[in-house]
Amino acid sequence: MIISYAKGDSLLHRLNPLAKLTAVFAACTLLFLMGSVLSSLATLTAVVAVAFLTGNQRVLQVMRTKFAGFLGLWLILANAIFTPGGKVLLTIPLYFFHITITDLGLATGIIMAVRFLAIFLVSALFVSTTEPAALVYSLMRRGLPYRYGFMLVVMLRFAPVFEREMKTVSNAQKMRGLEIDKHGVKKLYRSLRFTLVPLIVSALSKVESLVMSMEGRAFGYRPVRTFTFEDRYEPRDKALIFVSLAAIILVLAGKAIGWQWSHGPMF
Amino acid sequence: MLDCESLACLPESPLDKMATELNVSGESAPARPVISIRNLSFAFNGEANRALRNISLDIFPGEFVVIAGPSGCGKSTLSMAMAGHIPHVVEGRAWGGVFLDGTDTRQLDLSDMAAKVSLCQQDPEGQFCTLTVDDEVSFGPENLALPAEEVVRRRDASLAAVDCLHLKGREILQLSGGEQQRVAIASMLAMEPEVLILDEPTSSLGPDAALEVWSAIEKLRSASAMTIVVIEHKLNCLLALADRLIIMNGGEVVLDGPPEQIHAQYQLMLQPRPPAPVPWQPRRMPEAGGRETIHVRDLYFSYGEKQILRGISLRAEAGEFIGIVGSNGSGKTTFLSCLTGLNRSSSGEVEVEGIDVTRAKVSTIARKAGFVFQSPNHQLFESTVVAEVAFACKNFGIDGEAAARRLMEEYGITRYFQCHPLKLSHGEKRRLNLCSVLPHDPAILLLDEPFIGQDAANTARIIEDLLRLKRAGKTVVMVSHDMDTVFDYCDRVVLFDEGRILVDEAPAQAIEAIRALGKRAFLPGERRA
Repeated sequence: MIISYAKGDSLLHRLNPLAKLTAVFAACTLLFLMGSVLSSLATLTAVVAVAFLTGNQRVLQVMRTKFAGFLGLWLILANAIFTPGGKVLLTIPLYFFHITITDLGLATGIIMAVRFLAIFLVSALFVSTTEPAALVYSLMRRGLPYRYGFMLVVMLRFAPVFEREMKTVSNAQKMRGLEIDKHGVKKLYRSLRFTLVPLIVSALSKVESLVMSMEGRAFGYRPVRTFTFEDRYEPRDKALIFVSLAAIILVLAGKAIGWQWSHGPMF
Repeated sequence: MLDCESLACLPESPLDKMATELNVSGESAPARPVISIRNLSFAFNGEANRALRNISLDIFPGEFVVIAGPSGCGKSTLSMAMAGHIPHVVEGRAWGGVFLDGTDTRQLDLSDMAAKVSLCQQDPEGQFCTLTVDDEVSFGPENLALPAEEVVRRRDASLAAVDCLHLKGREILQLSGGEQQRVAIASMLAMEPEVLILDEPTSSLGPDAALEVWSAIEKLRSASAMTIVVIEHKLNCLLALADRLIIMNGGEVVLDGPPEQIHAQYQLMLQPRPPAPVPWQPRRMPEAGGRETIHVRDLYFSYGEKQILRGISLRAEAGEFIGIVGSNGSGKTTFLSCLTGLNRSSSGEVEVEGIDVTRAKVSTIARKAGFVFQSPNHQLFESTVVAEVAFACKNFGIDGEAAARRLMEEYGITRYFQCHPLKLSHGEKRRLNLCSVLPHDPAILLLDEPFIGQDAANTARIIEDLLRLKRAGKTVVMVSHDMDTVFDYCDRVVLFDEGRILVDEAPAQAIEAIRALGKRAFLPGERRA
């Protein structure tokens, strides 16, 4: 499943891109700062609830993908087997050695898997509800040098163009009998060689054209430029930024003065 | 190299005399040229030959100048020099000078020049650097750090000038070819230049979209005193608009003067001459006994939820030359892809040489049908011309060496035997593309816009090649925006419209049918009026 921006009018779509980015940053930070199964599950539940309440439940399909399932299971098993310490829950005797599963190992595995899923989900929610160009323009309005910002805009602009060109090159290869769907290292080498050359040639000609177009419209000749893009911050955006930053500060302050955020590996 | 002082001392040239004649205000003093080129020669880095040779030229305020000439004659290079991209962006060795309002372009910043001369390039898609129409048109004024209100004013005025105000808020990728080209022009107009240079603005557009662009340029011409320079191969639509026609050849200006007179002289210069048009015959019916090579019945195809082809039925015989015409996005290229199995149809029958395309592998169809794609560079894979010609045979496991050599001789590219294909000119690459799909002897040839970017001489050569293949019994199916060529040489004209076939007739009957439909843009030039 490929996660990409999908047009919509949900609350998440209407939030300012930078306010959402701050919330994503806060969620990921809190997941690492509050290291218990309960707090990680609570964060995951909150993310799922946000997806449902804002009508973006399509994103939750990532939880059902084979990749998410396999990685989550692998994280639990690997940590349960290889994390030392804690109370022994189970011992599996083998011929040369024993596998010992402890409560600490199991809890660490669950925390890692839940963290992974929560980060995956929160990122997917952000990507699917944030127009990439709007994010870059917001960043430029907030201080990102516009020369770097437009590198990102140009990348976004040409990604679908090159995707289409790659398809054309692949079709041209097929029509000349090059079967790129066959396996093997030699086939892979041939496929790469015959695909890369036409694509690079095309990219270089586009670069020249683009440079002339941008420089011919005075790009880069003033230290600052005007932006007509409206970077609006509604009260809800400001509230989201405030809550996100306050949560991080609260947890960090608590850690500094010795608050216990977890009582044992599970809670 | 000349400087401003030496320019002022130059004696009055025939061009200066013309400037006096063209001075519309009727004042006796000659107009001062907005662009003045003096003894300009230019060679690209790494190239021994000069792309421009000793060019002296004046462009006067308010003039509409058309520059034409064969491919590779230096038209685009000259436009880059006029817009200041040479020497500021494109590197090479230059002699002589280009003067903008009397100042040498080497002494000006590109940003200073950007507000005076704008160059709209051939491929609009390649020059867009943002994702929406609003951002693209605002891009230049924003770079000039103008106040936001002024940027918005310029954006709206520029879009209005090319009748594109309704495109505000749209994404660039959603625009049709004609809309893209008009937005590209608007994005240059937003710089409010004194001179607008358009490099082959309609070369990749369908005839209807091309008419939209020409009408926008005509409106611009009548509504403003802007100097407009257009580089173009197809002169039909432009002669009535132009004040002056310049013909280039081999990097030099060879003709310069009133459009009608210069056009007549240019026609006599063209070599090779296009072959004589094929006399129009009544349409042959496949039932008449010819060998059927293509059979399509009730074909439907969609990309996701977007329906592209809606019930296409078409049959073709060996030795038929079929021209498919229609607007950009009407489904012509998708149809060719369905014939080869590159696109799998949603429903319907597709048979090529008796093979059911819906079930066969692409490689099986590829042995029966050669496909020449639109862009020459997307289908050049090998490092030598001979390897390129033999590429398909090698993949099919056929010994194609002898066939490749014979074809290279036939197509006049033997002298490039060991050259890298990318070193060939645009026209030669096109012939190499055609030559490269033939060694394994396919019965059917599918061509997608073979004449884009080709001058009259190259077009004539390609037509000769296609007529020879038709005589050899091949079925040739060609998608083209060149109505004159399609009507002059094809046995049948097929008009696509929104995924349907509206007309499928011999040229004489197709003219009547298309006229009855009111789609005059798809008639050959002299029948459009």
